[in-house]
Amino acid sequence: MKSIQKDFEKNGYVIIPGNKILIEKLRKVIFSIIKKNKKIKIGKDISENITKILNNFHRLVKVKDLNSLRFNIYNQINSKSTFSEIFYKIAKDYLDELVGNELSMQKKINLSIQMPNDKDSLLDLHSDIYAGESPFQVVVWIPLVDAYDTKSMFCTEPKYNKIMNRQLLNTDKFTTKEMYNKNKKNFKFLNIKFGDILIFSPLMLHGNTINKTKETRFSLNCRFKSLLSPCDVLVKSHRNIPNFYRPLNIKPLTKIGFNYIKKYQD
Amino acid sequence: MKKKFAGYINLKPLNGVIYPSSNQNILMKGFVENNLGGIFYLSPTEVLQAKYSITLNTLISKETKVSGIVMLSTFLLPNSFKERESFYKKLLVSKKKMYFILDELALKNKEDIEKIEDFIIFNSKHFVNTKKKLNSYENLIMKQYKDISFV
Repeated sequence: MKSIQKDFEKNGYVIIPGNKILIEKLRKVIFSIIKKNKKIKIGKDISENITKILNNFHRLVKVKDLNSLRFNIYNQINSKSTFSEIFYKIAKDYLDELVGNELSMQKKINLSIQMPNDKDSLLDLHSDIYAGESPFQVVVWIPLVDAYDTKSMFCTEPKYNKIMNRQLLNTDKFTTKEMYNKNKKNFKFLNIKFGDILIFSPLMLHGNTINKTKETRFSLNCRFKSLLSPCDVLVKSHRNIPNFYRPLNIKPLTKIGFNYIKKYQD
Repeated sequence: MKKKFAGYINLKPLNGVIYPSSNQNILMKGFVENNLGGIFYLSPTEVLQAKYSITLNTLISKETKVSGIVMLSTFLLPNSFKERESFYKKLLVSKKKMYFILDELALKNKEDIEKIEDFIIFNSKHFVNTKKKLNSYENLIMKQYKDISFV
């Protein structure tokens, strides 16, 4: 387990085995929502094969209907606490090593569905820190099917990240798309098998391109940070408590200490 | 018959950000109609210059005939613990409920008070202030880790 600390410091991310039984549970919740949608006709021959259904989702749903369906699933999975509790359990041992066990967890778990050749589900090259997220945070990214090549996301290495981050923050000469195209060789698509999870720093430049594979990608992501670490760093943002994170595992001494301040502060 | 809910606007900074009253109203109206299935009744604004939260006290009093009060966050409750304590008592006696949209919390009974007070911890400067530089102690610790950086 200690090696993931070194790997994370070296690479800015780690790909590690998750609890497959729990990931399967998350997938079943999503599948049960999909099954209730009367517009989606699932053939009897594949009705029990969730992997096949998710991978071939583009054959069941049109691109134009995708976003409203995604929102519907997103709202339903976030309407009960059980989904996020399972999500946390999947990553807990690794979060203990990388972040700590008294945490802030992003309130909403995001769902991405990326169909082959869909131009509307793209997240160009970016770093989450640019949207005001805390550098003390990690992103936990869980694919619900195998993610590989353009069906996955791309990420860079710290040595290139330093150079490109500096360029990106100081240029008026090119767009993020041009920056990606110019530096393609410095990025690699992460191959993450179903059952594995990815944890990465918000400082790392990443994104996706048009999915040129023949399969649809379903993935979930959620952010975690140490509870007592700063939310707003260098800039003011809305990505703090109470807007963005919910406190998780507040320890007695944190309550006692802050309540002491609360009682005697001006 | 649908229940009526009052909005409560407070223009003090929430996590350092002042939400304009129009935006507070939009969020509260949506919450009352979509989450509570009720009627959005009125949303008076707190008197910023007043020593005590007179508007909030008016909303929880018998004079205001609503089932509950909606506001953006627990961080908009009075700063003073004593004032909050007295406010909680009056609210429970009035049998009104209170909803805090961004925090995803509600005050419906005595047990909820602890949850709300635990959450208000995060309204302290430690969590709300923007971290702009390291202090000398942090600088000292970080000396040995200066190579661990992605930017």
